[in-house]
Amino acid sequence: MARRSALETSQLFATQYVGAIHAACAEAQWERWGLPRPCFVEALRRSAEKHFRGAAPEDARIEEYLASLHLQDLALACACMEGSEAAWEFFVANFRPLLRASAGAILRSAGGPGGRADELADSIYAELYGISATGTQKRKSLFEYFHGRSKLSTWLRSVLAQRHVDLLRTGQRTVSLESGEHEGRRPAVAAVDSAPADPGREKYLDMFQRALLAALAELGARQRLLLAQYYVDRLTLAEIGRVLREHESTVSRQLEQVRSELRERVTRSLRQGTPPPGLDDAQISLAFEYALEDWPFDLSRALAREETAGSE
Amino acid sequence: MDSSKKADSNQRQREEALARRMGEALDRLVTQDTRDCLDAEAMAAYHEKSLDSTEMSRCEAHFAGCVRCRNILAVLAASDDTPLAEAEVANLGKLIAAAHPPRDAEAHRTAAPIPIKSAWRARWLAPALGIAAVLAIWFAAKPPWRSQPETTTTLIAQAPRSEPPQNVPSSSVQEFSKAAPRKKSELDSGSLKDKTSDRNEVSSSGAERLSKNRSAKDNGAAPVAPAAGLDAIQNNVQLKSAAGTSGASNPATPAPAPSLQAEARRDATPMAAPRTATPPGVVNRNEPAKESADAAESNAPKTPEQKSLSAERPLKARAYATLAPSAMLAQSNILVRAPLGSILWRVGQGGSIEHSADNGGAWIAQESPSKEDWVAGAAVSDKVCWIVGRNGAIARTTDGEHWQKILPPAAAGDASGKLPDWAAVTAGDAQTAVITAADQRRFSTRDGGKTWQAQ
Repeated sequence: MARRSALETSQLFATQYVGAIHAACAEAQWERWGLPRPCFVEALRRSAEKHFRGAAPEDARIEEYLASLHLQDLALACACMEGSEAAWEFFVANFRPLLRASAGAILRSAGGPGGRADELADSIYAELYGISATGTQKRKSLFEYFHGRSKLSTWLRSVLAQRHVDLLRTGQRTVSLESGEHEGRRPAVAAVDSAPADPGREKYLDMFQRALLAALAELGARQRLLLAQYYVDRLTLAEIGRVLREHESTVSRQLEQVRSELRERVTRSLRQGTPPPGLDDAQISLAFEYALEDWPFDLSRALAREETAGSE
Repeated sequence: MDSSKKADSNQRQREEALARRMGEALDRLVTQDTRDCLDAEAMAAYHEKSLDSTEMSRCEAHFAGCVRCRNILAVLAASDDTPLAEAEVANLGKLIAAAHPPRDAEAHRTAAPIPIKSAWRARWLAPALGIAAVLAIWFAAKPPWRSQPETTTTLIAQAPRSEPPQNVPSSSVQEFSKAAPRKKSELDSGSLKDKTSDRNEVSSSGAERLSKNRSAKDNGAAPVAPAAGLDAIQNNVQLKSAAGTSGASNPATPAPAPSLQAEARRDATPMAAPRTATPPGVVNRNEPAKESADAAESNAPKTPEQKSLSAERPLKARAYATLAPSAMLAQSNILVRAPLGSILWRVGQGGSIEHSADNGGAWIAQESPSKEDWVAGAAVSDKVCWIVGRNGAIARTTDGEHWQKILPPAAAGDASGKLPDWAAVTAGDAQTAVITAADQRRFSTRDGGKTWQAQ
């Protein structure tokens, strides 16, 4: 409890972590921007408070966290937030080219010409400076959300990426009622299956679906992410590698492992049955075969069921 | 044969079936984790791989179920790709922006909008003219054919077993992503001077030294056995001090010419000693006087003139510093070799850290926890390495990839809070190390840098 309160008030924070704050200040070079020291210490406190929200970490962990921050970037952001002219001039001179280049790359990646890169890059300047709802309110700068956990340049690129994706999603919603999330995927509900239905088919498919869900839930977060990127987002191995900062061959190997693991889990689950009894080898093969076909949507049967329910 | 074909076909069919149903199944797996999207900073930190394993896993659990965040992550990764032309423009823009007040330029832009067609021409023309003028001034001020070639030094942390890297990749791409506020030393290091010749010198001088070292080893020198224990390190440090290196290890005092035989002898010491790295002032420093001047300058109190000069620097001096390479700040890299195999780290100015798994054939930049210059390092194994640098910077990796900043000893700072420049580090394992400051104070840790004891 005492530790939490130390993070919650500036004064306690400054006295409790003197050594770590001292080291952080020495590295951050906050003086070059004419930033008052208490402002920077407050930025450190806010960063730690956000990171350890709801927890009561050891002092050593807080000190380790403070030392891990990108302190010079945090000092610059803090100075910009406080309206330091020197900091802003430095920011504009050094980060504007980077922002524009990143915006260009983002637009090109979306298939656009990249001509509107300046517009996208400059669109966040007003927010970086800070906007207040009324003239009397203190302006709230976007820099307030930067806590030094990443490089300032990467954070800016991340903000740009968020803006770009949100704009695209808004545009898609305006154009179509369908969410872009399912774009390009085979529809879950397919055409009416006109082939004579196997009486056990529905049961097999139901078991298959449950086995697959259980197997997916048992996978690790990283493995599920890989599958989502490959099967849902339809990214190539190279694209996944770029996102995860892994080599393409590593991604390929990992994906192969996940697929193999998933296949084994689903097969095992089908064999055991949830609930038992499970399926034998021939039935398992049949279940996979049915899953390969369009999803079992027998309109006539569904309608018949609805009618029955209605008459009851 | 038929049965194997049948098994293959069966397996393929199952793969396809799973692939077919994966999307819907993943959609159904949307859990509570996916409700709150990550903020831009968490995304950026994930992208930089600077989160710890628990946070990485939490992020990935969210990404697996959140299309928006996956899209943002993909776009963020795509924004890494900056084509050459854009990068050039960006760098040129930096110079121009530093030469002219950016706000004036902005006012110009808003006051007189340029037609689109001529706009891109001007965008190219203005920076091109600017850079041409800048280069002309630089050549006039300091023609490369008149000036002494700048001696760069490559510090070899340990006796190598094979040739050092001959090809040094450009760090310009990395430099681009490090557009953060920099210190004086960093500003100077990013100069326009011809680095190729410097690199060649580094390689050749390094190779020469290494071949001498190797020949010394071949003449009966036994490899150093890795030791685990602070006492062994301390013994080694004391032994070195007794051997007369104490004066040399202080960059503030002129060091004697590097002694290759002494270096080889040290490597051949039968005593179980840990792998050590010696500071710039101790080993293979080609220009000790230059380094001492540098260290002296950084340690000495500044005159009012110097103070006013440095106060002006952050904004406009960036370009001036770039255009006038300082003789005091010669670029230096330090090679730290792991005791076994061909693992190398190359650390140096601006906190740069590069890693090579093939004896220097290819270098991969690693995330540095500090922007301070690294001056010495000690690799304990292929995974564990300690490095120390200026202004109290200490870092350690325990997995060979991710570097963790270590808090310096609180007692090391002076009255004004300034932390010392470290000059050397010796390490026994991931937990045990001894660091030596430029003023010869030594501190040791037995718990991975959580606590330090003055020696």
